[in-house]
Order: sequence, then structure tokens, then C-alpha cells
Amino acid sequence: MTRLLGAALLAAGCVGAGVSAAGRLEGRVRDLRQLIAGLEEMERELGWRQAPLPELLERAGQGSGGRAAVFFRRCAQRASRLEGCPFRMAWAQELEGASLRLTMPDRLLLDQLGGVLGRYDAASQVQALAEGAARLEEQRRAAQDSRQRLGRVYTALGLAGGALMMILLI
Amino acid sequence: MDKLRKAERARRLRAVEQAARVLPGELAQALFALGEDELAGAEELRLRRGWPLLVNLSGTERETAGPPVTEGDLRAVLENASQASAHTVLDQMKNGYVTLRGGHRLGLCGTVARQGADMVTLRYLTSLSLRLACPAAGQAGQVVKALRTPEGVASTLIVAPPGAGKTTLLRELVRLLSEGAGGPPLRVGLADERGEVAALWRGEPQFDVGRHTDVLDGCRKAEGLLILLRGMNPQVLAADEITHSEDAAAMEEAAGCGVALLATAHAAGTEDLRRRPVYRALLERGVFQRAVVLERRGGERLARVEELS
Repeated sequence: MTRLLGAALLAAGCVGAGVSAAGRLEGRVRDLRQLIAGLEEMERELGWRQAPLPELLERAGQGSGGRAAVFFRRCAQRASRLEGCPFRMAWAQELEGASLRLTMPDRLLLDQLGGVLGRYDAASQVQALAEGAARLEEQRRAAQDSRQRLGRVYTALGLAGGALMMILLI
Repeated sequence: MDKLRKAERARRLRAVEQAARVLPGELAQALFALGEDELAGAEELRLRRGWPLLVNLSGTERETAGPPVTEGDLRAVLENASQASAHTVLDQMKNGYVTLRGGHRLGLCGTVARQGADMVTLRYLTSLSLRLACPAAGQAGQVVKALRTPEGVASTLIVAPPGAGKTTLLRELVRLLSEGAGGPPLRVGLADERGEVAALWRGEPQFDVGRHTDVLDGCRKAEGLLILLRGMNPQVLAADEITHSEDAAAMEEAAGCGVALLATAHAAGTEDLRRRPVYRALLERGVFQRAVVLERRGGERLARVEELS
């Protein structure tokens, strides 16, 4: 009975690891999609109304959703009360602490954007936001390809590993 | 009286505390190390690169014990003041100052970066002056009674040399007319081109200009006056510093529509006013009926109402 229970647990662990790996791929696609939606919202608001940065970030929070919305809202709070911390640093800190499921290149793109936001005239920032969103879109497409290719592989590997465990241990 | 003095002191300390929020930590610490007695007399904070923060106390500059101000400090103050939104203050920077929450004014000095003939920004900052907004109630209550007519208010020019308190009196008159002092409340349209009268911050007036006042800022006076005239159906139109002929033309057009006018003009008095072409034309056409002439005598501001027609 104990042996059966142990085998079942190990099998479940293998399946869980596979599904979780596939889920991370899915999560990255979703986070990137929401970040892009937020940046596009900022771009529109900035281009039209030239709203101040805390308002732009708040709108990005409303226009995105999920983990990206939390990130944008936290940045909005930091921008409205900098307390001696330059916004670029506040943005980097929030990016570091956010639970966004991003790769290093994704984070680098966002980090670079933090160096432009609020520092230049509206036209330069709109351009940087458009470029940032376009490059994140490329990352999202690549992430979606990975998810389609590797998502099934990870799930299948998890299931196969789980089945193998069951066979070996029973 | 003692109660009034305490309230005034508390108001001034609140203004210092609010304005100091834009200062980097070390400079703010140095400022508050001065103590409440001195801070209650603070009128202005001055940050000059390479020197400690200075506080202007009723005309005398008092040095704080903080570290020398760096360009990074000056940039940080500007970033804090604009809430990391340089694009929202670039136009104000061209006027030489940025309005902060609370109506405080951050004056900027440094090396101008240009594109063609236009100033774009300041390449380097060398000094900042943070003027604390602490508008004191003046003698506008007496003046407004002398300007009231059965129909509303007489079109009036506030006349004084620079620094005599024209803008403060204009703001007070706008508020009092809007609140119905000396007669029924009037709808006032305020064309606040440089944001000195109402000091809008994120769309909210930082100075009380009355509940029946509509403020348009960031727009050239002549254009703003006509926008207000067409869109807001004002009974009174107010603007600070009528200096250009197009401002005068807009005023004349508004007067032709039956709107009363309130404006300020740089001049030593009404005789001086008549010597200046822009005002002479307005006076000859009867656009303004009265003038409030401001004078300073022994540190006291005196206002005298004169008939112009």
C-alpha cells in the first residue's frame, strides 16, 4: 500500500513538473500580451493628452490586466511619490520585484524603456513606447511558438515520466 | 490676535513642509534642522550648484548646514516636482518656472538648449528657486465694493510697477466677485496663460479663485479670452498682464459683448498708463472704466480706485 502511494506521488510529481513547465511558457505569453496592451494604452494617452506619468501608468494598469496591471499600478504609485528615488530606479526595482513570467531579454527591453519614460518630450516617449511594444510583440510571437512546440513536449514528458515511475515502482 | 498669528504660523509651516517634499533627503533634513521659528518666516528656498541650500527669511538669505547642492540634486528636485513627467512641464520651463502642488513656484536657471530660435529645455541646471505660496488675505474686500455696479462690476485695470502685488489683488478680486462679495456672485472666466493666478496643478486650482470661476491655462491670453467668451458665457473676464496688442484686441472684443473685464498692467499710475500705446487705445475706446492703482508705502500695500472715463 505504502509502495503504491509513493509511486503515485512520484508519478503525480512528474506530471506536475511537466504541466508546470508548460504553464510557465503559457504565463510568459500572457504576461507579454498584457504588458504590450499596457504600453499601447500609455502610447495613446501620451500622444493625445500628454498626461503625466503617474496617470499614464495608472491607465496602463487599467488597460492591461493580470500581473502586468499590478506592475503598472505599483510603478504609478512610485512615480507619484518618488521620495528622492529617480523614476528609472523605481521602475527597475518594481520590474525586479514583479511576479511577471519573463525571460532576461524581455526584462532588458522593459528596463531600457524605464530610462526613457518621463525624461523626454512626449514625442520621444511615444516613439520609445511604440518601439518597446513592437519589440515585446516579437518576443511574444517567439514565446507563443515556444509554447506551441515545447508546451506539448513538456506535458507529454511529464505524463510519460509519471507513467514510467508507476511501471518501475509497482 | 494671538490665535490669528498662530494660525498664520501653522499655515506657513505647512507650506514649507509641502514644498520641501520635492527636495532630496539630505537637503530636506538640512532645511528642517533650522527649526520651526525660522521656517515660519521662510519665503523662498534657493538651491545653487556647489553651495548649501539657502532659505530666504524675509529678505535675508540663511545658509543651512547641509551638503553642497549637486546637479543631481537639482535634477532630482525637477523630477520630483514634475512627478517624473518632463513632458508636462516643458512649456512651463520656457516661462522660467514650474508650478507645484500647493501653488509653489520652482524657478529654473541654467544653460538653455535650443532648436532653431526656440528654447527646448535646460541642458544644465545651475540653480533653482522654490518660492513658497502663502497668499495672505489683502485689502481686496474694500476694493471690490468700490468696483461694484448695479449690473455687476466695472471693467477695471489693476495698475502698478512689477512686484507691487497686482497678481495677488487680481486673484483676490476674482475670488470675491465669484463668491458674491458686495453683490450677486458673478461667473468669472480666467485666462491664466502662465498659471500664475489660479496655479492649476493637474487641473485643480491651487489658489482659491472662487466657485463660479472657470480657469483656462496654458493657452495664449488673446486666444484664451476668446475661448472663454465663446464657450463659458462669462459675466467677467480676467487676465494677468495685458502687454500685447492682440491681448488688447481680445479684451475689446469681449467688452463689445457686454462682458466686464479685470486685468493687470505694468505702469506707475494712470498717467503712465495713458502714455503706453496698448493701454492708451483701450482707454480711449472706454474699454476700462476704473483703475486700481497699487502703491507700496513703508512696506504697506495701498490700493486707490480711480475713474478712467
